[in-house]
Amino acid sequence: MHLRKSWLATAVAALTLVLAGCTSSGNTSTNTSTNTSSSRPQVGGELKIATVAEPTSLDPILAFDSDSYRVNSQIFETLVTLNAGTTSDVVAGLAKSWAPSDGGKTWTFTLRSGVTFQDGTIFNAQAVKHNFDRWQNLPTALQGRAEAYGTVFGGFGSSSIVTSVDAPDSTTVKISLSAARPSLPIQLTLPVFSIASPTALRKYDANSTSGSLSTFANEHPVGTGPFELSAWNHGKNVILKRNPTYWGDKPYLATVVMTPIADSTARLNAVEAGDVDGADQISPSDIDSVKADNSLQVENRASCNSGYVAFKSTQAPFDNPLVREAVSYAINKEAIIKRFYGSTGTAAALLMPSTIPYFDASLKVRDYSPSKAKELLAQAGQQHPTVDFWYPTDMTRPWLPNSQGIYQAIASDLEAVGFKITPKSATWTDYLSNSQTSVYKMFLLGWSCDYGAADNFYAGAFGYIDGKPNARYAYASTEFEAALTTAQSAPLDEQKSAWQKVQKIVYDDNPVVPFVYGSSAMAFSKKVHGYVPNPVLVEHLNKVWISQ
Amino acid sequence: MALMITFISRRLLALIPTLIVLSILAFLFVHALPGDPAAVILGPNATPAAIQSLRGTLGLDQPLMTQYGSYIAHLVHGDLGSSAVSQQPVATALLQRAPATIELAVVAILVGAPTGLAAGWFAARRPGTLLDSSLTAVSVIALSAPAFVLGLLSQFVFGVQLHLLPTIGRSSDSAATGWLILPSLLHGDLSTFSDAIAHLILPAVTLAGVPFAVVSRVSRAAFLRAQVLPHVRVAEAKGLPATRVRRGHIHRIALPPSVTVIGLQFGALLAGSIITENIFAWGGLGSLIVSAIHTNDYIVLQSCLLFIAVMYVLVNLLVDVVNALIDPRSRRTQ
Repeated sequence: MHLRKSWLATAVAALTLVLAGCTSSGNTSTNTSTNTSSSRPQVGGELKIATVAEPTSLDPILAFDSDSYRVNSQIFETLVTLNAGTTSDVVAGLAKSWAPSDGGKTWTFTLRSGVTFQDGTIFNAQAVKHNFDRWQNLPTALQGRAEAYGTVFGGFGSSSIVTSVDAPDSTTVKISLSAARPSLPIQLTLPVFSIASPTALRKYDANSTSGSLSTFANEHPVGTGPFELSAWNHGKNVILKRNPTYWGDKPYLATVVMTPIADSTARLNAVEAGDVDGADQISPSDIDSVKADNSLQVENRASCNSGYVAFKSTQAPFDNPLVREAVSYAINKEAIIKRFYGSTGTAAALLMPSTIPYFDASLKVRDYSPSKAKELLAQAGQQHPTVDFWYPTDMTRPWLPNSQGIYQAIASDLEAVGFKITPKSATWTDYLSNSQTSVYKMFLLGWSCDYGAADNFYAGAFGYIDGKPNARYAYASTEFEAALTTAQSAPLDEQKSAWQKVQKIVYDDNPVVPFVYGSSAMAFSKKVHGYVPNPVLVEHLNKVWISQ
Repeated sequence: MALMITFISRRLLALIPTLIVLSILAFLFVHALPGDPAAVILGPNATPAAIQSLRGTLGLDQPLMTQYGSYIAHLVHGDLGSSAVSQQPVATALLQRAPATIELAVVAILVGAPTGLAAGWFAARRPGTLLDSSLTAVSVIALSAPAFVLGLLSQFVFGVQLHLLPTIGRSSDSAATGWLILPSLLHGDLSTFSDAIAHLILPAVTLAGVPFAVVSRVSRAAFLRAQVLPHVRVAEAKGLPATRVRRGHIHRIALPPSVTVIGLQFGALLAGSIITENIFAWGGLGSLIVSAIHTNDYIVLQSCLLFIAVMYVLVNLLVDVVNALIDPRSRRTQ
C-alpha cells in the first residue's frame, strides 16, 4: 500500500513538472509585437474570429447584444455610422447628409442613390420609411426584445416620439418628432437601427410572433452591407461572404467565419495555435502572455462601459436610499479591480466613464468604508438585510470578465457589513429577461455603450418607456425623469449643465452602484491588418485584409 | 445458436415497453416545467395573446391524452417538432449534429476502452508491482482531471506549443457538416480524412480519459477476482496451458463487467460532452443542448432527452448481446 501511494505521488509530481515546463516555455519569449504589415492590401482569404457567443438574432432591431452587433454590422448598414474606432464621431452611412429643423424636432436625411440590398431590392426613402414604420409598430410580443427602440424613442406606437416618417422623394427621408432630439444622429448609429430589405422582411415573415426567431432573423437577413450571410450553423459558426454588389469600397476578404468559443483560454489557445486569426475578449490575466508572443498582436478597445450592482428601487430593502448608499461604501472596488481586471479596469463613480462628453469629474468614487456602510444600514433600520443576490453564469464582458469570482468578492464585502446574501444565478438569456421581473431585487449588471453619449447611458438604463420606468431597475424619480427630458432636448450650449444635473441625481440616489469601467482586448495573428476595434462593436470588416 | 436467437428476440421485445416509458417521460418533460410551457418559452414580456397563440401551436390547449397521442403520431413519422429559436425542425437539427458527436464518441471509446482493458489486464496480472501502481496513478489522474483541464492543456501542448494538431472545429473547411470520416474514407478522399482525424485527436483523447480510467479500474478488479476463482485454480492444477486458462476461464468471467461499463461509457459519450464540445468548438449534440438550455428551447431539449435515452437503451441492448456471446450463462438467466 505504501509502495502504491509513493508511486502515485511520484507520478503526479512528474506530470506537474512536465506541465509546468510546458506553461513556462510559453512565457519566456520576448515581446517584439509590432505589426510588420506590408502596405498593399491583399484581396481574398478567410478571416476566422473566435467570438464569445453566438448572435442572438440577425434581425437587427431585435438584437441588443455585442455578438449580434458585430455580425449585423457586416450584413446591414445604418443611415449614419461611427468613424472607425470612435464612439461619438458620426459619419455618413446610407445617408449622405442630414440636417435638423424646427429646433431638432424634424430631421431630414438625404440618402445615397445607386444602392441595392443584397436581394436586388432598390434602397430608397420608401425602404427607410418601411423600416422605421415597422420598428414603431412592432407586434407587442416582439417589443420586449426591441428595448433600444423603446429607450431611444420613448416607446412604441403612439407612445413613441416619432410622429411621422415621410419619403417626399426617393432620396429624402423626413423624420418628425414630438420632442426635440439633438442627439438623433448619434442614436441612429446603433446597429439596431440598421435598414433591412423590405422585400425580405415581408417574404421571410420578420414580424412572426410564433416563436423566438423569424426565418428572416435566422436564415435570410438581407441588408446593404459589405458582407452577406452564407450560413448560420447554430452552435458552430456564422459564415459571411463578400457582397459582390456592395456600393462602397469592396471588402478585401472573401469570407469571414465567426466561431463561438465560450472559454477564454480555449479562444486564446485557438489564436495562438493559428487555428483562428483573431480571438475576442482575451482574459485580462492573459494579455501579457499574448504581448510576449511574436506571432500575435493585441488590439485594445477603449472603455465605454460600466459594471454595477443594480437594485429594484421600489422594493424593500432597496426602496430605502440609505441601503443603496451603504452598498456603495461596502464594496472594495480597488481590491476587486486589482484582482480581476488588472490593467483593463478602473474604479467607477458614475454610470458612464470619463471619456464620454459632459462627464462630471467633481463626483468622486466613494471610498471603501465598511464602517460607514454599517452606519448607513443602522440609520435605515436594516442592520442585516436579507436578500437574494443574482449573477449571470455564462457570459464574459469587459465589465465582468469573471462573473462568479467578481460576484463572490462583492457578496463577501456585503456580508462583511451585515447583509445576509443568498446567491442566485441564471444563464445569460434568462438573466436578461428575468431581471426585468420583481424576482431580481439585487443583481450584477453593466452597461456597454452603444454610442459615446451620456444619453445612451442614462436614458438607456433609466429612461422611461411608454411613460413607465424601465422595469429592470424600477427607478421611479420624477426629478430624474424631468432632468433627463430637459437634457435630451437641451440646446448644445446647455447640454453640459443639463447632463451634469442628471449625473448628480443618479450619483446621490444610487439606483445602481457602479464599481468598474472595463476595457477589453482582442488577440490577432500578425497576418491580420486593418481591424479597428471599437468599444461599441461597430467594427466594419470591409477594410480588413489578410497577408499570406 | 437457438438460445442466442431466443435471447435477442426476448431483449428486443423488452425494448417496446422501455421505449414507451421513455416517450411518456420525454413528453411529460415539457409539462413538468414550472408554470405554463408557452409562457416559459416566450419569456416574461410575452402578452397573454402570444402565450395563447403558442399554446395553440404547441397543442397545449388539448387534453393530455390527445396531446400524447399526437406526440407519438408525429414521433413515429420522425417529426420531433420545431425549435422555438431557430425554427428548424428538431429532427433535422439532431441529424445535423449527431454525426459530429457520434464520430467523436466512437473514436473516444475506441481509444479509451481497449487501452483501459489492456491496462486493467496488465495491472491484474502483476498486482502490487511498479506497473500496477503506475497504471493506477494514471487512471486516477485521468478520472479526476476535469475535461476542461485536460482539453485546455492538450490544446496548449499539441496546438500552441508543438503546432502538431488543430485546436478547434472538425475540419479546416468551416462549412463542413455531417459525416466526415467514413464518407471521405469510402471515397478515397485522403486529405479530408486525415484532416478530420487530425481535428478529432485532441477532443477524442480528452474524452477518452474517463472511459480509460473507469474501464481499467473495473477490468483490473474483475480480472483479479476471476483469476482466483475455484474453477480457474482447478484448471491450473489440471495443468492446462496458461493461455487456455486465461481465454477459456478468466476472460469469460472478467469481461462481462468491463463490457457493461464500456457500454455505459459509450452511452454517456453519445449524449454529447458539453464541456469538451464547447472547448473544441465541436458543434455536436453537446453544444446543441447548451444553446437550447441558454435559450429556453424546450422542444429541442425534449428531443435531445429522448434521443440520448434511446441511445442508452440501444447501447445497453448491444452490451447484453455481447455479454451473452462471451458468457453463455447470461443467455439463460435473462
